[in-house]
Amino acid sequence: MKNKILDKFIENLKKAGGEILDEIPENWYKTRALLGVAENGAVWVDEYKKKLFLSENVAIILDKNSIVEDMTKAMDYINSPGVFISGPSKTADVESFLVYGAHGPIRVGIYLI
Amino acid sequence: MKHQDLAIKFYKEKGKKHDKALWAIRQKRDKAIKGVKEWEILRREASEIKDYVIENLKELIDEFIKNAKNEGVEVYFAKDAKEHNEIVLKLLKEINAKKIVKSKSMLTEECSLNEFLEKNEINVIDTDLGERIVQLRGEKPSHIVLPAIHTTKEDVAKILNETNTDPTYLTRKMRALLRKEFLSADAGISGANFLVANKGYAVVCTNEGNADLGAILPPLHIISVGIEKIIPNMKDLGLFLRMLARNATGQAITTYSTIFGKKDNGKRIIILVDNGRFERLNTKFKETLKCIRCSACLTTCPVFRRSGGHSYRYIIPGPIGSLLAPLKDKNEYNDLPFACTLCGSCEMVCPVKIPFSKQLREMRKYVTNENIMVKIAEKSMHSATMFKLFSKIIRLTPKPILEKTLNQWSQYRALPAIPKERFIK
Repeated sequence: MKNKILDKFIENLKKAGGEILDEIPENWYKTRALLGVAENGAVWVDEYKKKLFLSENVAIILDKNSIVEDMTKAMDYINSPGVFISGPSKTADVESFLVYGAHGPIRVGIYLI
Repeated sequence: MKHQDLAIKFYKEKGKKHDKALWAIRQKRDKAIKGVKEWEILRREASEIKDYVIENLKELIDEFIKNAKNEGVEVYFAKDAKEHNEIVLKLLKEINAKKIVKSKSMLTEECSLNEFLEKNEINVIDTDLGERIVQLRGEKPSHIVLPAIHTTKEDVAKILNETNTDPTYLTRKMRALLRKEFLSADAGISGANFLVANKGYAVVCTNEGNADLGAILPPLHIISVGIEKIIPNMKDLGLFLRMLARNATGQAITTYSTIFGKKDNGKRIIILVDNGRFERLNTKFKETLKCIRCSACLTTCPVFRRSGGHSYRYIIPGPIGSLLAPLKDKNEYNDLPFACTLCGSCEMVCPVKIPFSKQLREMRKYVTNENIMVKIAEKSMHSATMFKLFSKIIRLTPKPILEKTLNQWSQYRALPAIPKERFIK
């Protein structure tokens, strides 16, 4: 069951343009997520910092055991402001072409522990 | 010009491409919701939550204000657009703001905030890429989620004085230009997708991250939001976040769904705007207050897809706009409820089950209730003598005149032959 949720999380993270990191590159901005959501590949980050949005590359550390099935279940654990992030910032405003790196990071990687 | 003329003009220039682009998004949406087996159950729950919200709006607003203040957020209440704009101006003047970065907010468009602030010598930079494109073109958004869907990459290259039309190149160029604006702005203004009553949080969903940069970089963040965006609690937020992006663009969720409370490095202020919403609660159109602005009804509408958002002339176009616009100005927008084939597609995709078909028919009555021709027609249906008389007049009128005067649609359709025999003797 746990593995199925993890697989789904990774699949949906990739659909959202995100990646799984084997190691954290040195010059990337690092933060940690408290929660992952399998149905959409989003992670919940409560350290709401400028660099999370200004950096070109962001690495987010996530505990494999902190992934829940969907947003409704995620809400059971959320009790403060913060942000759900699903992949890199993106836009399709130029003639419907999907481009990663609109205003925020161009690459977002999840480092699973 | 009315909808029909503007639609014909648009269709000839850009209609086919526009239709195709939007239909592709509708198909992406269908695929996304097929991935959620319980979708119809979610719709029913979402609809019930929104019914509860509109029946308990006053109480929920009070609850929200109390909790937002406890959280450390200042809250204002504006009864109309004018009051909203004046509050924003006062807040900006207090910090001597010269430049603000704005993220997508249909409410500030509804209040014509940009024009108001520019008049008061405050520079407003729209930061959503699509909104920036239309701002530089001197236009308004043509779609509430895809504001520049009516433009081409060549159009974008032109406003940037570029010859390279590669979308990635153009996006990067806009990113670099707007990054400078973010870093030098005095304040950020955004809308909100949801307000969570029992926590006092405002929730903003974007793909580009522009609302977050506008919220976190300048010392002041103003959130302007319509009162109907309130939902009771976090559990409800979870449900709506499952639905919003899937139904809008076919994404499982937007890149960023930010829950805002107190601002760490400055001030956050929420302005709750009524602007006719409370009054709408007492009308037949109160169900339009359930709308979460997902835009699915625009994207799916066969008329919208072919006629483009600008043909509606109101800031919110498409089926939902055809209900909202006449409530703002009955005469100016009396054509909009007829820019509709009553096919019901909007109703099928609406995540909160707004009964569009019923509402659009009701809106047709509302905009024509003073129309003399409609009154005569109605009278004639109630009296055999009158009916016979009118049917005689119509029979005697030459067909070309009949087609020209009685039915705009017949410009592109032949009126069926009128039978020799009447069914009424």
